[in-house]
Formats: sequence, C-alpha cells, structure tokens
Amino acid sequence: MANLPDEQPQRRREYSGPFTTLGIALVVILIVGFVFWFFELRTGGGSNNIKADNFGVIEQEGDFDPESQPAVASLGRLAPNFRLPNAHGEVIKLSDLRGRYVLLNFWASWCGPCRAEVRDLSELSDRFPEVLTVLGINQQEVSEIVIAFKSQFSVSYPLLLDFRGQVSSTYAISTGLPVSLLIDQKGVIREIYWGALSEEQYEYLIMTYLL
Amino acid sequence: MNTFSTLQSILISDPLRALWMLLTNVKFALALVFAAVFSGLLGVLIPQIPPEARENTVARAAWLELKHLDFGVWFEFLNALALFDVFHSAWFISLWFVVVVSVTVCTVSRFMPVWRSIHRPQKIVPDSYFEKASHRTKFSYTGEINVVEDKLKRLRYTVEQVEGDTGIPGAKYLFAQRFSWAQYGTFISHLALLMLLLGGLLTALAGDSRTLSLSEKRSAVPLFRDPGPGQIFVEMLDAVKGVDSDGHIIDFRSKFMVRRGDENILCEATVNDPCDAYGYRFHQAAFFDDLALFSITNPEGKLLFEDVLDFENQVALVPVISVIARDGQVLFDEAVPQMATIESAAGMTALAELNLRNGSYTISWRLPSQDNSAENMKVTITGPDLSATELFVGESLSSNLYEVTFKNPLLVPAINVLDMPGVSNEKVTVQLMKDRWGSDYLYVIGLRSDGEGLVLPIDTTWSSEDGFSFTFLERVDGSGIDVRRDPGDTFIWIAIVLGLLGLGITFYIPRRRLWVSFTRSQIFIAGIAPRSIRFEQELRKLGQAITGQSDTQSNEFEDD
Repeated sequence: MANLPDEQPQRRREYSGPFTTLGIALVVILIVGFVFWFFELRTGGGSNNIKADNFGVIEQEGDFDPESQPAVASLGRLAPNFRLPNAHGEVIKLSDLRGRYVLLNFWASWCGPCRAEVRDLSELSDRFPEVLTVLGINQQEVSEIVIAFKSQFSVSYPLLLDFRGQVSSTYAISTGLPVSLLIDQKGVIREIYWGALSEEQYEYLIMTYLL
Repeated sequence: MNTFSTLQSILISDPLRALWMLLTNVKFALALVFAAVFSGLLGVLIPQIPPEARENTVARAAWLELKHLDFGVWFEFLNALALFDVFHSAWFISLWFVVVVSVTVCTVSRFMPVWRSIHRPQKIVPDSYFEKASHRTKFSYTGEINVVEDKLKRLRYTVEQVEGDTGIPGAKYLFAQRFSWAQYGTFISHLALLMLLLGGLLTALAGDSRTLSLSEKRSAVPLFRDPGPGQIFVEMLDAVKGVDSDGHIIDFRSKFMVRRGDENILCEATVNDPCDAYGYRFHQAAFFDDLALFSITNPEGKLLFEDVLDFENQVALVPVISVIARDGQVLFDEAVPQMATIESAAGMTALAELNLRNGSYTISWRLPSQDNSAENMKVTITGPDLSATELFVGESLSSNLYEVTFKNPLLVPAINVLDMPGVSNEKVTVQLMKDRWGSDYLYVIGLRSDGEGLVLPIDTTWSSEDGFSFTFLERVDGSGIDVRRDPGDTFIWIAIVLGLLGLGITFYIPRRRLWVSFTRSQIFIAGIAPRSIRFEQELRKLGQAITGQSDTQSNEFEDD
C-alpha cells in the first residue's frame, strides 16, 4: 500500500549515514582549508612573511621594576620596553636609555602639529644632551619618508620606525598625533602630552626634570 | 515513546545521527545565528586588541594592562571570556565553524529528498489521500480519461497514466506535474548561503586592503610595511584627468608599473576598471593635480630637498583680472596671486599689485572667514589714475589708459610650508598659479629677504643671498590607488547569483503536482503546490474546464 506523498519535499532533510551527510561537510571544510592555503600560505599571500624580527615591544631587561607592576603606558607606571630601528637600520632599545630622561614623541609626516613642533624638540634635545634623549617614533610610514622628513626639518634627534604600529598600539596612540611621553631615569612614565607641547609645558618640563 | 526518550536512544545507539539531528534543527540554527550576531556586537562595542599588538605577547600584555586600568574590576571577567579579542577567540571561531558545518549539513541533507522527489516522484497515492490532501477537489464526470489528460497537457503538465493503489473496480489514475525541477530552488538558496559564508570567511582570513598615494616623477612605493622578497613596488607613470571638449571631467585614470622581484606589470586603472597584478586589484581612488616637484640645494650644491610639494587640497581665493590698453593691446589677463594679507576687525583682506606702464595698481579683496566661497566677491582697485573703485564679477572700469575687468574668482592651490630648508623665515607661503599662456609658476612669499613675493616659473632656479637655490622643476599629477585582495569575492558573487536564482525559482516558478482518480461517475484530484498559490481555485477551474460545469467542489467548501 502506497504512503501519503510528502507535500513539502524541498523542506525535508534526510540522514543518509555519516559518510554522505557529515562526511560531505568535512569535505567542504577541507576545500575551504585548501583554498585558504592556496591563496594565503602557498606563496606568502603576496604579503610579506619575513617580519622585521625582534623589532617592536620587548620584555623588560635587567631587574628594573620600580613599581612592582606590569609595564603599561600610564602615568607612574613602568614604560613598555621596545626595540626599533631608525631609517638607516641602527637600532635603539628603550631600556638601554635607563639613567636618562627619555621624551618619546609619536609622530607622522602627514601630521601638521608634528611638523610644527619638530624645531622645538630638536632644540630641547640639543640643549640637554647629558640628561635627555628625545626619540621620535614614526607611525607606520616607509623609511624614505622618514629620511626626507629628517632632512627637510633638520631633525637632530633619532627618528625610529614603528613599521607595524606595535609600539604605538601598546602606548595607546591612535591617529591623534602628536603624543609625547616623558620617561624618567628608572623607566617610569612621568608626563603624557596629548598634542604638541605648549611653551608652558616645555618650561615646566625643563624646570621640573631637566635642570 | 516520547521525543526525549527517542532522542536519548538515538544519542546512545547512533551519536552521529544525533549530531546530524542537532545540526539540521532549525531552532539550533537560529540560536547559532543569534549567538554569532551578538558576539559580533560585543566585538564592536568592547575595545579589541590591535592586530599589531596581538602577535607579540609582551605588547599584548601591556595593551591588556592598559584596559585593566580602564575596566577595573570588570577586566578579569571580560578577559577570561576573551572579549578583548572576540574575533580571534577560540569560541568565536568555533561558533562560525559550527555555523558553516550546520549550513553544509543542512544543504547536503536536503539534496537527496529533493532529487528523489524530482526524478523519482511518488506516482501512486493511496485512495485515502484524495480525501485528506491539503489541496483537493472532486466533481461528477462520465467522460474519457484522455480528455482530462489532454486538458492537463495543454496546461503544460507532463501526464502519465498509472496503476491505482487499492484498485477500486474500474478506477483509473493519472499522475501529472509541472515545473517539478523548481523544487531545486530551496536547495540552491541553501547552497547560496553556504557560498556566502565561505566567501566571507575567505575575505576575512585572506583579504587585504590599503591605499597608496602616488605621484608622477617619484620612485616606486612599497606596498607592504615590512621588507622582504614578496614585496611589491608601485611606480606612478602617468596620472590623468580626462576632460571632454567642453572642459568637463569625464574620467580619472592612472598608468603605473607594478613590480615584484624582476617581474613588471604595466597597469592602467580607472575607478570602474581596475588592474590586476600579483593577486591584487588596483583601483583609481583619488586624483591630485596640485603637486609641484621642487628642489632645494645648499651653497655647496648638496641637494637638501627634492620632493613633491603636496598642496593637500588647500587653496587660496584670487581674482582673474584683465587689463586692456586703449590701443587694444592685452597687457594682463590672468589670476593675480595673494601677495599679502591684512587682518582687521572686519576680517582678512588679501592684497596684490599689478605693475603697468604708468605705475603700480593695488588690488584688494575680502577673504571669506569660513570657507573659500567666492559668492559676491568684489575687488577694490586703486591706481595712479584711479581712486579706489569696487568691481563685482564681470564688471569693468575705464581709466584714461586702460580698461580693467574683474573676470572671475578662482581657487588656486596654496599652502604654508613650515621650516623650509635653507629659509630663515619660519613660514613660507606657496601658491601654484598659471599665467595667461597656461604655463605654471609658483608664487612664493617668504624666500626673499625684502619680503617681496617671488615668481618661480618651471625649470627656473632662484638663489638666495645665503647661497641656497630653489627650483620649481615641474607640476605633476598624482593618484590615490586603492589596492585590494579579496579571494572571497568570487564566492560571494556566485552566492548572490545563486541566492537570487534560488529565491526566484522558489517564489516565481509555478510548480505543481497532481494525482487524478477516475471512478465511473466522479473525478478526484489531489495536488501539491507552494502555499502562496491558491491551488484550490486552480483545481476548481480545472474541473470546470473538464466538465463544462460550474459546480465542482474543492475542500474549501467540502464538508468532510
């Protein structure tokens, strides 16, 4: 005796055993994996797999941990350590500058206020070479731009390349440039300046820390 | 046996089948979709670890510590749930994995029933079906079965006579269907959903997008931040603003060279017609015609600067003035650069000077405070033979010697350059002008020690008293090139086509399936059609067409 017909066969789902139902799902996933490998991993995906190794944020060195708290870009806390090259490949490590004040200046060539304060930063660097190091940290621009900028504005302090923006991210720098941080001799962040430093801020910085 | 105990027994005896039941359950699918959407929302609302910090454990720890300060007591809870890295968390990836598996299993599980229904349909139904079917009708008929068969064929049904089920004496049966293949519509729609997920997955995992600003006459720009053998360089050869004979812009296009290793690909791209190279698609995204190639050398001849001076879309408002002598000779017919500005309580006023045969004429005009709107712009002209006279656009004045006309206002590229090498002034103002013959020149204020402006035509060098040389090499064009790689886009396009096809077939192809039973005096018709169709009405009309009567009954008014 015939059964009643299925009135909505297009809605019906049928289990035909693990191989033909769950197995096909597995095949689809394998195909996706293959496609991903083909496009992304096989030829390096056109992007570059060779990273500028060891550049970026690194572990603290030595037994410096004056606040006994993890490093973080916040006032009164140990500044995250990093290792970055300049446009000519010379490498600077923040922890190597312990014992001196360090003024980190995050900048980019497209940032008008950054260009405007370069002269003042250069003067500051030149005026206190014994106690202060100014480090310009460029945000993800190519070395040609940084070289041209250094030449154009006669920058007297090191300009470092944060290729991947890792240091900028760690210091919570977004596109609101420039941002400067004053780090003391023990590696602790003492001041954070959002935007270009004003005359009063320069004066305070010099009077309080550098003289 | 209740549902729970059935499920329990299946779970024990056949766990894979139980898994299948779960993956094809509509409520489970809805729960997955809701969870995926909610997770995505969390990922948007809660700050996420930047990609550049994620790959470095120290940077990651420092970034998280920053969030610890922001979120306070909530931090540990949010971090434990990986809510600061939602889109890369194991649970989020697992969730989407299950969604993909579920859609795949659903799609696969639908195929066989649909295929069987189309290619091996149930042609014989029990007689009781004619009394129970959702869509059915019956009417008196004593004619031949061939008449019904012909009628159905005229309605584009494929019809065949079949054996009956229980065999009512003398009964005959027909099976008819129309557009049965349209049942694939639902399967195709599911396949489209699967393709969409796969395409999205590929785009998210392997997609890339960035914009390069490239100007002519500059060296190639690297595509990737990090150096390496896979690096791609792009060099702009020609950026073009296409205009028609009336001067209207018709297109922007760029010709550029894309290099990887020793390989070169010559590309030409427009906004709508990209160029493909090394798996990347290059689109024209912007056009800049306010770039000047400029060089500065020091007294020893060492090149201090040779680069593109980008006016960055900044402009200055200037008037175009013509001066015609009484003898008809055109003495001046071009835009006048701003040579100085005066600030007063009333606002900023720009000044320019025109040196004519009989002396110097001063032109002044008010600068808009907010934007560069030239609406109602007027210039004031004063000269040896003229008292201050105001001119609006199109107006002229006549002196004893000249006719002076304010032809139109014009916005010209202009920028303040801070700390230009070799210049003692802190600020230098540069305007990019055109003379009456269409040649470009730079008007520079701040180079000369006497404070006067300097006209610097193309390929002309001016040397300062300190020995620095300034050369305007040429005006160049540039383009913003959008570079994308989206391996998922093919999947997504296919998914869109399949989705439209599947939905179109499902909703607009009128598929039908009929079973017809003849007895000596009556015809019973039962059928299947999409719910959106008033099938009973069709069946009644069919009965009327066959019998020529108007008293056929459908289940709409039958009293079963």
